[in-house]
Amino acid sequence: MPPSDVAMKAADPRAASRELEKIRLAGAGKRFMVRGGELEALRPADLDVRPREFVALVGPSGCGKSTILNMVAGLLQPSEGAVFYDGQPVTAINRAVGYMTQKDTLLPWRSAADNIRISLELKCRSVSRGDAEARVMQMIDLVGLKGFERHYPSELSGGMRKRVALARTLIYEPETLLMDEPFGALDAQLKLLLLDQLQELTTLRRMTVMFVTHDLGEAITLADRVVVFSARPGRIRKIRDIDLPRPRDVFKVRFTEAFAKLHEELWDELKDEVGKGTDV
Amino acid sequence: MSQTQIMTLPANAPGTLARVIATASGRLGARLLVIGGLLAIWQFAPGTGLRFWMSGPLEIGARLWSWIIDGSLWDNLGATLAAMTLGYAIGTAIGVSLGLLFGFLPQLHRVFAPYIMALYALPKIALAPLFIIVFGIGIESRVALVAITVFFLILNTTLDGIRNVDRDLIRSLGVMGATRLEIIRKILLPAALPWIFTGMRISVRYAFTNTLLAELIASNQGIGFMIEYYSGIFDSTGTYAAILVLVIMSVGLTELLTRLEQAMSHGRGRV
Amino acid sequence: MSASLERSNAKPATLDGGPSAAAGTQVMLWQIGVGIALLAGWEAVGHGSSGEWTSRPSLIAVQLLAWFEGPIYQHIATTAIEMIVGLMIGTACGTVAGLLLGRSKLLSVVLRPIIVAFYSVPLVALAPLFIMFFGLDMLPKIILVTIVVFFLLFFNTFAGAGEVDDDLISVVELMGSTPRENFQKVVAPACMVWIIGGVKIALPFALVGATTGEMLAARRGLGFLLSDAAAQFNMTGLYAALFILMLLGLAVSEASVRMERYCLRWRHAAE
Repeated sequence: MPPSDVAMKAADPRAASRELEKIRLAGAGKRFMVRGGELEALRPADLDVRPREFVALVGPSGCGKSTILNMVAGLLQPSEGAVFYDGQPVTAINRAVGYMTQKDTLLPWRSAADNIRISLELKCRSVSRGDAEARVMQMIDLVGLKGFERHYPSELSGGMRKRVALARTLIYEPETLLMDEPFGALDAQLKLLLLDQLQELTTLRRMTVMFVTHDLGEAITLADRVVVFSARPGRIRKIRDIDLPRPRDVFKVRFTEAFAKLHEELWDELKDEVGKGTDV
Repeated sequence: MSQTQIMTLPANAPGTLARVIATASGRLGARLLVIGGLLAIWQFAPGTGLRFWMSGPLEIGARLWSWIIDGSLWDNLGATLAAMTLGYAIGTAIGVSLGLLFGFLPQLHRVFAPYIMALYALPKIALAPLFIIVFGIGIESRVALVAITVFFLILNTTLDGIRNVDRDLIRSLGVMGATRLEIIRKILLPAALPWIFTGMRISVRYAFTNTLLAELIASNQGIGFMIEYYSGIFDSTGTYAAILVLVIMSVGLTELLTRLEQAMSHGRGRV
Repeated sequence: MSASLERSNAKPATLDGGPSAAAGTQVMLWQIGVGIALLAGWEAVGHGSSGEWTSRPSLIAVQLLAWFEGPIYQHIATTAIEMIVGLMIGTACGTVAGLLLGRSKLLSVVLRPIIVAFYSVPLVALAPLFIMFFGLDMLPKIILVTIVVFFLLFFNTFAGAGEVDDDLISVVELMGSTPRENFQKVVAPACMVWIIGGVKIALPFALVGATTGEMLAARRGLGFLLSDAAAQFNMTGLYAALFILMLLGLAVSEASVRMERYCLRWRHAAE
């Protein structure tokens, strides 16, 4: 499928299969009221995410990527346009998504294991104690925090807290995952390991994923499509299908020629914008 | 400008009540309404049951007025303020001096520390009878009580301030060749200063409270004395009126302190 | 796997860098030495002068021993009960009220200044009012302590409830929580910090309240013992009572430290 430049509002080649979209942004834009007046964080954007698709959003700081995730999660309402999930407009908190935010909002009074467990404690999900325990331990292993289950967030480094947040989001296997720079603070080796795990889990559980990152390489490694944003006010510059074969070997795919070509092409789009980024 | 990560869902279209609250005058109006309503209920509610404890706002107001006119209000107010300020000044002076001394001579502090801690745990008001026996029933005993209360607080905060100086900083300056005196002047003192000021700020409240308590226990002057006196003769109107004076005084004091703090932090160029 | 823990805070600074283990015992010896010296000095002064207002440690010790054979326990119990009952009721009501009102933005905004105004009044000074209406026994003191504690806890919880990080609530909501679960799992635990902080502050005030009430009018209790001794110019009894009060104060402060350490483990874990 040829890459579509959505900013030109060209006819959406997938208009016919609209009903199948998991997530749809239809001209969704966001303006915030700030001290000096109004701030446009996101220019009206059109984006469709198919079920089980892995979409990566890349762009400089402050370009509205997080705003999009917030709107899909129902934490923000768009100032114009609309956001749809499973065909329904998102008007309240969207409980079908799991959201891993940039800020690791762990409950400081709970240990790592207890933080991870919390989604399983809620009424909407009846999980027996034993099952919950097993799954929590599984998650802890997955993110490599064995031995730290009983530590409080204040005792963990930033990267470790991020991993707890990741485990917390994944454990109840929501049908859609929203992730905002989840691996930013981690060292390169760990990052690759977790990327691998993420790929496996999301394929296995057939999750739809919207993944925000600064790291273009990360995006190309995992995504089915990469969306490149401009600096604030953010607008979509380019959407590129990533036609690398699946399943991808996270550790080796970066060294393939196809990867390099994609990286070069997208970096061209991105590099003009990077300098204009504002700090989030 | 940072972008807010998550914002809570905007409320439903704000109702009239919410819109009123949004304005400052609306809020003021709402508060006055609440207070006024409660007072009105107290005054005009029928039946002795609600004629709460043998008095009402109108009588209290009248009694207060009579005090203003015959000067007794000002005399007592002055007595309370005098005891408070004097005690505060003395307590601060001694507290800071001893605090600095102990800060410079930590071995000395360590030796005396358990005794200071023990005395600190004693509710200072318990010393009131002792001071009355020693100093008599005049203003001296109240000043002494306030002074001791303030002393302990200031001592602690001063010591905290000195203790909070980064040890590495002291060491590195020592390596550079600074003498003990220079370290004191250039690091310890400026570092401890904000803590001393914090201590002084906190102590005002305690000075106020303990002045009143001292006046309750035994005194022949002051607002606390008035409360005790009128309750002693079962004059509830008088008691309430004295309490009203207390409330006004407390609120005024808090306001003054807040304004002072703001002025001072602006003056020092910090927000 | 990277596994770095948080950096520890800078260790407290003293000019001499802190005591070593051997010096620790030396310090203790000095402390004991100072204590003995003070007692000896006191004894000497008591012997020398007619001991009118100094009494003597030896006499005080005798008095204490006599008391501890029987009579003292009812007084300690009285004061302790007044404190504990007042604390429990005040904390319970204060926290509930604070949580409920704190979560309502409307009530928060409107009532805030009124509550702040009330908070600034030294409530302990209202002791005579309660004694006037409720008499001599434990009730007025319990009420006094309850009210003092209530306001402290209410204010603390009120402030805390309004400051719960909304992001934390959003996180749990996204997982599918009900409003009740929001409260249970996020708001209430988050407020614990404030509540414990409030109880910490309230404990000494409870002691002051109970003691003051007893000094004003009572038939039993440590405060009563104190003022009774003072009224009879019984200096020995006065100092003895002060000593016991000091012990009680130390117990209170130790309890407060332990409680905080237990309930807020997660805060101190990194230290």
